[in-house]
Amino acid sequence: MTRSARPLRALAALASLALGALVLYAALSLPPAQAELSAAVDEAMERSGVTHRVTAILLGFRGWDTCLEVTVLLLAVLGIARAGPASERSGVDRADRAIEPPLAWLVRLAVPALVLGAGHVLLVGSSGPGGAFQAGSLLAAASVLLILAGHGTVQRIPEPARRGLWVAGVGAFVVAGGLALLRGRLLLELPPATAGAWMLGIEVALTAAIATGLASLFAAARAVGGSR
Amino acid sequence: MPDGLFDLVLAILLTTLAYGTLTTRELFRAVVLFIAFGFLMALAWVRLAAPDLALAEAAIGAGLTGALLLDAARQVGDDPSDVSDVSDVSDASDDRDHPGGPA
Repeated sequence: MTRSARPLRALAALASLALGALVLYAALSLPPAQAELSAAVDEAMERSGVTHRVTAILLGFRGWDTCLEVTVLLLAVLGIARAGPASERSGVDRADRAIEPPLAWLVRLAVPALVLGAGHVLLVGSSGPGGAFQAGSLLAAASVLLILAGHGTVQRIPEPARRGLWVAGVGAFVVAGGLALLRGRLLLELPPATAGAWMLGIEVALTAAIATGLASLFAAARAVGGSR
Repeated sequence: MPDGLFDLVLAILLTTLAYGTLTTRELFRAVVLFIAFGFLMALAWVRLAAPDLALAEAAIGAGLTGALLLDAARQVGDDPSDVSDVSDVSDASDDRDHPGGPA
């Protein structure tokens, strides 16, 4: 640490403290409980098409927020794909190198369990804690293990199909929102009778997009590392 | 009240790990501390009755981000212009992942 960095550090500390105080003030000035909002959710649960409150909020009442979240992920994946090397196959190409027995053992043990677990939390999302984000991240974790072991996952998917999977999440919301508008409903307003099926369809698309997106991020990083 | 004690220990550990992650000078050690922080954070979400968040935190926060950071730390460690404990970083990852890379 050079001496000239000291004022900078003091400034950073001051700024951090100020931000911390601001956050603390905001947290303390929040209203004690949002009972009326909770009651509104309870009241609308019957028409949401699912029985789990978090899923009903994420995909039904606040679907727009979720749509923006997966858009952020899509932008990150696209940005890294543009910045990365042309070939993302290096993770596969190095499959011939020796893999440590613990890693090979972990892959055999964990990957099937992770895939099974992802399917479970995806389907259970309509009635309990779970859903697309959990299923997608579990699949991505399995994919990371496979990439680490040199097998490759997303790298094996042909480029156009991979891009299709990346945009599947945003695409599902566009389809659901567009159809709702065409039928004279509000944007992303799901028809109560089939809302449950709609949500499951969106969740499947979201899972595919999140899993391939996150795995592609990791594959791109590996490809850069391998080229050095 | 063992629950309260558990939460207290968890809170202290989380704060300590966060401080250690930010202040340690060795990149590899910082990443390992970050991963440990992520797993304890997942435990905190379980204690807050949010198992779905716990799952996402463990898979993305600790697992995926940790793996990405390990990769990044290895590559930064390869850089000779990096003056922080290079030996420690390269010891830890030890080029097992890229035989074609610099030894």
